[in-house]
Amino acid sequence: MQGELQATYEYQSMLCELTAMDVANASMYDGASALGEAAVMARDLAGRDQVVISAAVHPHARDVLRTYTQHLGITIVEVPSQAGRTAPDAVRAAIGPATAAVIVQSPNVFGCIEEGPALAKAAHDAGALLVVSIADPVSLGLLQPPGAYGADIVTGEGQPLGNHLSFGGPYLGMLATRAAFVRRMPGRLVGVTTDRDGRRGFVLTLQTREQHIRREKATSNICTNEALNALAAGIYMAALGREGIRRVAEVCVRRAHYARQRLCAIPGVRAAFDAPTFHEFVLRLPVAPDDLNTRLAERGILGGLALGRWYPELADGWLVCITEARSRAQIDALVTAVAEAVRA
Amino acid sequence: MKPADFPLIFEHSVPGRIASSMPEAGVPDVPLEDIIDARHLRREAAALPEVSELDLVRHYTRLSQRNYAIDVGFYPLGSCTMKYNPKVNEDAARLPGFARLHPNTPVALAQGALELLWRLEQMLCEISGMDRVTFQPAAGAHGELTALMMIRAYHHDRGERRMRVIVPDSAHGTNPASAAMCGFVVTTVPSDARGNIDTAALRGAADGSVAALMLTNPNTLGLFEEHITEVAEIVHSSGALMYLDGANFNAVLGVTRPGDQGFDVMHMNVHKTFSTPHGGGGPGAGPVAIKRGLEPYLPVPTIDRDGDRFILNDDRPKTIGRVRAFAGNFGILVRAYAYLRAYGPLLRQVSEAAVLNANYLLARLRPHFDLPYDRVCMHEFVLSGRRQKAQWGVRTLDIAKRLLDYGFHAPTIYFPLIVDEAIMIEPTETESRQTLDAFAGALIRVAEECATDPEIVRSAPHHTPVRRLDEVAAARHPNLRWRPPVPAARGSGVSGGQE
Repeated sequence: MQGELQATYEYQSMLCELTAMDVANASMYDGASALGEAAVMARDLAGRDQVVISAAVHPHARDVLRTYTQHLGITIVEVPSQAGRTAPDAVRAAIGPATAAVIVQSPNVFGCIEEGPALAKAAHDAGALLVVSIADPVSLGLLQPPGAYGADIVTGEGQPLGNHLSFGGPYLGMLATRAAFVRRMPGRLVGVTTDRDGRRGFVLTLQTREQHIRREKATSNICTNEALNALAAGIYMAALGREGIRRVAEVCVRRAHYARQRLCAIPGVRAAFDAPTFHEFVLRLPVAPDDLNTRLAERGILGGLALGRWYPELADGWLVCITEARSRAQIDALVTAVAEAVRA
Repeated sequence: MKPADFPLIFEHSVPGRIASSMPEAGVPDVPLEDIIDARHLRREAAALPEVSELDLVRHYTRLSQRNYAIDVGFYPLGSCTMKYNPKVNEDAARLPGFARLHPNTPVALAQGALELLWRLEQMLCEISGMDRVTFQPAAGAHGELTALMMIRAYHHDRGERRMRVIVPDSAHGTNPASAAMCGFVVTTVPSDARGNIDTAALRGAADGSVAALMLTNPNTLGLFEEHITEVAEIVHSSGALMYLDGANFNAVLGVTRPGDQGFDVMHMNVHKTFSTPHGGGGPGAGPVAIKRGLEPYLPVPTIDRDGDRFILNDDRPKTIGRVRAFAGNFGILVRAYAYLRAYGPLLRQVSEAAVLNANYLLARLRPHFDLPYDRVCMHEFVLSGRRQKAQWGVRTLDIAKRLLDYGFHAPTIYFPLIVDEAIMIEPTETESRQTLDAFAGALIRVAEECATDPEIVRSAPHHTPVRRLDEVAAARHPNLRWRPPVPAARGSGVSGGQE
């Protein structure tokens, strides 16, 4: 197993580099369950039993957080977003003496980049941890990594690192933290050691955290993880490398910006928020988003996500994502199709 | 002199080298800072490896060759079943209509995927004797958590506060860990002299505070619970539910159904039962099957049939919620579906062959090791190395390491916890008699070496890429990541003020 263990160690290392954190585990089930585990970890670290979470964290992730914590005596306080972002003052107002962690996502569900340093300060001033969820780790090729602005735990969805969409899974949950917190981490960790000849080798380590040793006192019940997906993510990061990950992120940003400009030039279509975005953005439409998607589907285009289901105030909100996989010609075709559909 | 280390990918790194080619953005050039305020932009690049495509391909190919894998040789691992992985399953999962399907695709455009899951649910219900299945859990332990939350919701809905879960002392570690994550208090009951759960102890423990019994059947000793009907009666008469840890379901497919044995809910590990790969520890899938009474509490969404359409149903007022973001490890479930379509009515033969192979190996090995629970086994069995330890000072760990020198993966050791110096062996149904004989021959030779040359066993392995590794040092001084060489302008990669 030395090959697999080494590949996992390399994945852990690359994820640490990308997030600017000290230590990452070998993977969790997906981004949402990793967030649920992070809340439990924060509770244990802080010895407090409340978490404050931004409503701009993806609704699925908030659902899973609720599921994971519902029987553990952890209460959840949601902070509404303001103009597409999480206001540090609103977070400050929601924090109490029992707050173990402030949980945000950046870029958030609306694609907007959060004010990480201010949110970190709001959390730390109250003795709480900052948990940052990353929906697309490719964004960290270009954006400030959570470790650079004081995140204590980073979770996220690792699928965009070279894994198939596959209708929702298998994906991989990312979980990284500070060195001081490693013994409260869930999941497998691969470490370096030496054999009796002094040769470098790799082992699963710090296993006294885990269920097969600690049983009901373990940091988590996780056993099987998403090793093969983590392997793919590692190969993807190595294939791009130091410069490539930045380039991919930059192509995403430039194409998304172009798409946003062009779509917003369509009469009746406007950007929902002014905050800077990475590769997703919310538009307000003059027609029902679901109707637009039906029209686009007729032209072979899978449209944006209608947000009204989760955010009633955004009943006309349409979340668009443009990655490096979408060409300018495809973007132009989308713009033409949207223009025709909203005019009709 | 210290032998050379196998290089890390980072150690192949040369500044400026890259394995992939990047497209131009191809859109009008705008200064980046005009799009995203400079304070949000990364100031220090991530020190990812800088390697050529050939470096990359060779590195990972060589790493793959440093593994013992199911495609290379026999895996005797008990409990952590490594099954045959038909390659055609990989083709099915990679069909573009599956692999490239976005999880938020409108259901009208994802009917094929939904129908596959719906049909898989029907098959799993038929095999298990249950009424409904959720595919959300990503692995067995995730399934346990999901099932326990449903059990908790079930009792809560009846106005009952039941906070205890009973597990036998032979249980997988995930059982008590999952119960704790669901807020339950764990009560452990012992096994009897024949390896069954002790029914007298169970009767004493099963009162109105118990929510469920978590049982593995066949259990982790590889033995079928001989009093399963009585066990179900005891549990049900206390008002608790019967939970099956389906880790060993592959022993009884088509022979007996958990739903008929009195279980109310179970999880299945598709990698242990339905041939999906488990390379390196995942991804898995842990579908949970339930009796009708638990249906209101299923995680959302369920995959329901509405006439000739298939829908994702979120309208479940009593649901426990969502346990992961989307509808499950779909790509893994495609593989399980392909296997079930290929095997169908032959599943019974799969289990019968697994049981036959295990009993054949047991018969060959029993003269050489102790067998604490001396019964006909199911798909796996547990020997004890206590004789070797007492007589020659050779531990089970040493025996496992020595097997590597003979070209075999080690069996599961020191589990279940109730067997001293446990050696747990599961051959599965796909191994030939020749392979079983070769493995038995190697293990018997090691048993003989324990008497004739115990030091060679104690100092094993001798012929592997690395020798015995210092696990104590690894835990005492954790090195869990590569760091860029210092001093470097790139810094340590650590920042933030709270160290």
